[in-house]
Amino acid sequence: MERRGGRARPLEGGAVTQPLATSHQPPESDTPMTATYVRVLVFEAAILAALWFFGRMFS
Amino acid sequence: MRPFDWIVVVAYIGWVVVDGLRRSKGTDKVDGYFLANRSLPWWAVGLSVMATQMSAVTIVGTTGQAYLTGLRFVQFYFGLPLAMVILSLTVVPFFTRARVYTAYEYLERRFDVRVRSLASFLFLISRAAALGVTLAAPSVVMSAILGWTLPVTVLTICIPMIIYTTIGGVQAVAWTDVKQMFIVVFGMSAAAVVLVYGILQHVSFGQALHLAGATGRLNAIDFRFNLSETYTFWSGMLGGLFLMLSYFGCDQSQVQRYLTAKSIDEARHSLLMSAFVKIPLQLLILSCGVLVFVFYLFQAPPMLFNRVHDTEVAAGPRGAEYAALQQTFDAEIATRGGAATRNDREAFLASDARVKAIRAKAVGVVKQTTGDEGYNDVNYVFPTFITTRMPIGLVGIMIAAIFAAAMSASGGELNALATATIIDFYRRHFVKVASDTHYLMVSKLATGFWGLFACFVAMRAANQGSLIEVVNRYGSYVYGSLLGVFILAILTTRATARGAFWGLVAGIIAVFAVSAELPWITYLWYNLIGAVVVVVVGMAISTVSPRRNSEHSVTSSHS
Repeated sequence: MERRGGRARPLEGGAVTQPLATSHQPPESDTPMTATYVRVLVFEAAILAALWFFGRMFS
Repeated sequence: MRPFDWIVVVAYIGWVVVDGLRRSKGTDKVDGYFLANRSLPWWAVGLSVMATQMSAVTIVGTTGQAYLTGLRFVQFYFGLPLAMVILSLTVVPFFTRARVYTAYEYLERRFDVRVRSLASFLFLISRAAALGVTLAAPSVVMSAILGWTLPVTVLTICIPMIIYTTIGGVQAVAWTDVKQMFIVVFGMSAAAVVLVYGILQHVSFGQALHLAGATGRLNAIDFRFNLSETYTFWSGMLGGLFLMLSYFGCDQSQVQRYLTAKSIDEARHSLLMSAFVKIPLQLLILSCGVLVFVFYLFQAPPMLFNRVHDTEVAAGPRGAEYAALQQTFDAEIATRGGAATRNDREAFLASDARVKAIRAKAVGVVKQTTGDEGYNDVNYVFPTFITTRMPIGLVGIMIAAIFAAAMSASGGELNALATATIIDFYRRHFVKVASDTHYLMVSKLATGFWGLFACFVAMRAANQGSLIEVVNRYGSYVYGSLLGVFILAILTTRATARGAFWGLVAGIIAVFAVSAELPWITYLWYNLIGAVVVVVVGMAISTVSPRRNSEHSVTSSHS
């Protein structure tokens, strides 16, 4: 895979580009968030249920 | 509007522009200009994500839609939470690790420059058109309030926005978005309080809900599976899911938001904020539209909310007929209000139906008198309430919120258009070797160009029905197909560049064919159709065509 930053890299047809000035590399913190994903889906299900009951109650 | 309200509006917009320019520190390089040096906290990115998606179209168009049809539009967002989860698991870490400026830059690494260029081109034309529409909404509002011409109002909104976006880049855009979200939530909450207070002078809140419910406006969920019905549970969960996946995962205006986050986790949190907050926020806005309907059961509404046409028609050749309709309307409004106060459901519904019929006749007179066959006044409902019923000071805040919403949403889109233009076309195809200073300069020129282009489109898009539907319809022509390309890119190693390119072409053609030949299928399904066609055609062509040496078969991002 091509890498941005560092040195010039060849592209299709032999064209060469210089990389743009790159910023500092931030930490790639990548922690599992399964519990949060489940909370999202449960929260939405609760909203949908509440909307359905609300509509039924006042229609 | 009173002078104090104008002071509030001018002060807020001035603060937004000045603070946006102040935050341009650190944007002297392209990384800072386009990606804020990847330094923004998750909550600012999250608010920016929501603000970019929620423009003045939401405030003006959605409330009007709720006034007419109730809460059912909320179904449009049912796919959003699941989409945010999927994106957090897939593209967020992917794009963050890939260290790209644009989502389409990755497509060249995976396939080839043709796919990248076509995808970016489709983004440019669809987003530029949508940007014009999102600017048109507040311009229409301001025109009606001030009596200005549309071009003047468009430029009044555009010029401050172009200034701070061009000078400050994505940092100015993001922090403006943060302010916008606070003012919008405050303003809509204040509007809801004013509405409830006004309603409670006549009926109890429970009775008010029953009145709204009697007309079907509280039925938020429609479980019918009907491809012709625009807003149903299924179109929202399926069609809307694909729309949200494509919009938040493949549209540069949103991808660029979370590329500014400090880390993968922070980028995820920014999207998951929308997952939790978007539907409740949308319900607040829609509820204001429903409450406006109930409010106007007890306070006489105008027969037509577009007052500019009202004057023109009353003075025209069918003025006498229009005046007679007005008298009938006034009498029927009183009848309806009486039935509502007495809690006489049958009489109320019968009278409400007659009110609708009178309005439909009045709309017919307007169309025939003005020649405007696309006329409707749905976008004027909430602004009319704001300017005629809200207390001093809050009117200014609401108008400021509408202007701020327009500027911040369009600022994000403008910045994205410039990014794609420079990174995917100018640098990739034309000027491949230049200094950072040069690219920064042309980036600012591109921002200015797209801003002026959007102004032009805005001046032509003002009268196209419910603007929120127009915006999403424009996007649905290409979003699904773009999503299909990214599915091919990320989820399978077997897709080739030829397959991706022709799959994308096939997807676009398929969506346009469906919209032309099967117009009864509503636009939300276009996203699903486009994505499926791209994947199916792309995989079929990939299977029969050999991979070229310049392509990459790996899908994992580099570290």
